[in-house]
Amino acid sequence: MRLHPLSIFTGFFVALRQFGSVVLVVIVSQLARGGERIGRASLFLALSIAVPLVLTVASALVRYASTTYKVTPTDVLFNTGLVWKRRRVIPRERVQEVHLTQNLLQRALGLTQVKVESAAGGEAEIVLDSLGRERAEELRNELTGARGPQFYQRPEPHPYEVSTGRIILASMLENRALLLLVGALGVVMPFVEDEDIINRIVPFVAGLGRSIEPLRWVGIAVSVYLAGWLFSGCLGIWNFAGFRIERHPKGFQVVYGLGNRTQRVMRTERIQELTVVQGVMFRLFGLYAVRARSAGVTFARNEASGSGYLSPAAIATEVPVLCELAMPGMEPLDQGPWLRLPSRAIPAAAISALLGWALLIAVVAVLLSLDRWLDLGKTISSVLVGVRKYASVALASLTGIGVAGAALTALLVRHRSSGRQFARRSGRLWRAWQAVPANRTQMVAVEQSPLQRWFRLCTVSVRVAASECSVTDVSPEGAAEIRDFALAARRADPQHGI
Amino acid sequence: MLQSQLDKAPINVVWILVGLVVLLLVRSVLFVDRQFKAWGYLLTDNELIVRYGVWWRVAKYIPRESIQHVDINQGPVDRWNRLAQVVVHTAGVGAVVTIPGLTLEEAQQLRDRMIPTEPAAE
Repeated sequence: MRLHPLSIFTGFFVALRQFGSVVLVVIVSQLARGGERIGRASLFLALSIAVPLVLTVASALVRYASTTYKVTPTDVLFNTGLVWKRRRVIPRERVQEVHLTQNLLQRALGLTQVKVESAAGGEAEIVLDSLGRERAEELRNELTGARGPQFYQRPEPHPYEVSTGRIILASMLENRALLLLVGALGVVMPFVEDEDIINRIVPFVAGLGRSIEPLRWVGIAVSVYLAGWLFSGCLGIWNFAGFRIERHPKGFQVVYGLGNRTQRVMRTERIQELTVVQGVMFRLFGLYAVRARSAGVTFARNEASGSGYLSPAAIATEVPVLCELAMPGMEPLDQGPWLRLPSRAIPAAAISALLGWALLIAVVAVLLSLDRWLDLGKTISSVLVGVRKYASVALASLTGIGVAGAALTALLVRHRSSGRQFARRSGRLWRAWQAVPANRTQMVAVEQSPLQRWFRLCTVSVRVAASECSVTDVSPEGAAEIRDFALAARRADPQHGI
Repeated sequence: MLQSQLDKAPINVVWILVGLVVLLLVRSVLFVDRQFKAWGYLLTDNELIVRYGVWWRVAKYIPRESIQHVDINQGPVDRWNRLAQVVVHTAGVGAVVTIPGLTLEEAQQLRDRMIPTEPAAE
């Protein structure tokens, strides 16, 4: 079968976006050269627009003409490419996940992109750009084993929803890295010396120039910061508005997004990892971010790589519900036999961190002494001459913080082997829970470094296909228990593949 | 430019590097016996267990159901000595266990035990 004919149109726009940046760079560079030479450059300009345009049209046509797919009772076949031909066959029982996404253009045209993922990592195995919406849903239902017309017509009432207000709150709390960047830009902007740059790139800041008083640029920085804050709220709505989870015969379907709408069916029996994270800010507001991971690794761009949200902002009472959805029969995360590390793990972690920092300091010292020996223009030393005192103080305090942090981490880590999951909990201010299905263990690795041997400790990691849950500095007996638990769970459930 | 700076140095850096390499060589020769003895593998009814390492000790347990495919690799040196290494793959990226230094027959036997060729072996 072929893609929807309108996919030529959407493909054209996708390709245009790629070429568009080249065109933009050319145009901007021509303009930057100054007005008097534009006449001569106009031919070049026209060519630089026309050539990519022809290429994009051609590539969209070629893609439409050469892409075919077929679903047989056992396999999904996918062919694409005219010159570089690519054929893909995925056995249907290996299909991990089927994603439907729509961007704005596709939504306007009633089209949907379908991604079929098997367990191999990296990009989605099959990407069908733009099928008709009904055809896409049909295909999804066929591949994920949703039977009967009732699901196709109308999904059952959804068991879970996140309100828009909470999404805004969560994204204002979460996208702080972006905020810092914007804030830093606001601080730096008034210091830019070259007025030319300001005049060209940001005409509206041109008036601010160099002669600005400190108080005013603090004001600017704050307002830029605030704007960034509001912007991240809007970004949250754009990415996650209408977040809801619907039931599905083989698991559940997550639907979200205002700009790009995603409908993701996850098969419960294929979920590889469940994580619940609560940062400091989230803790203040009693929110949790819940994510699930399957063995197919690609996910939407707006999410942490590899795992998809079950909720961008859940409240405490919802967390057990979501956990039950992803890993049925799992004990609630706030209960259960959480075991702590043996007390000797704390000095062990501290010494290990200290050794790491000592190595760094030694490397710096060697570099400095080499610098003096070789007289390489005394590059490093000369830079350090003025700030040596501060640098050593900074290094010492960083070492102190690192060592104390390692000890604190060891103090707060807990692990749990109960039911069918192996789980780990860490932190106090930044709290995180991670659970992997022990009945689908791919490997258990027990490792011991020289230092750990000295303290009679080891690191144990339970690996599943798409993730691993590892605990550092458990006692050998504890490690053996974890190992036996995971292997026994696997043995009891041999049918499960990955 | 660099040469003149190197000439001024009290100790030639090249010699330091050579010394390091020699030290590493001596170390690896001294430890090769212990490293060899640290390697071990065991195929039980349920798992493949591999252990290795002298300073950093590692033990890996792979449930037999989780084995995805098994490779037998021979490098030129291996082939010269009629040796082979068995590489066991499980699902996921980089989830690989390598058992080096088996004889070719041993490697093939191990592979056949892990993935029985007889359909109803059990």
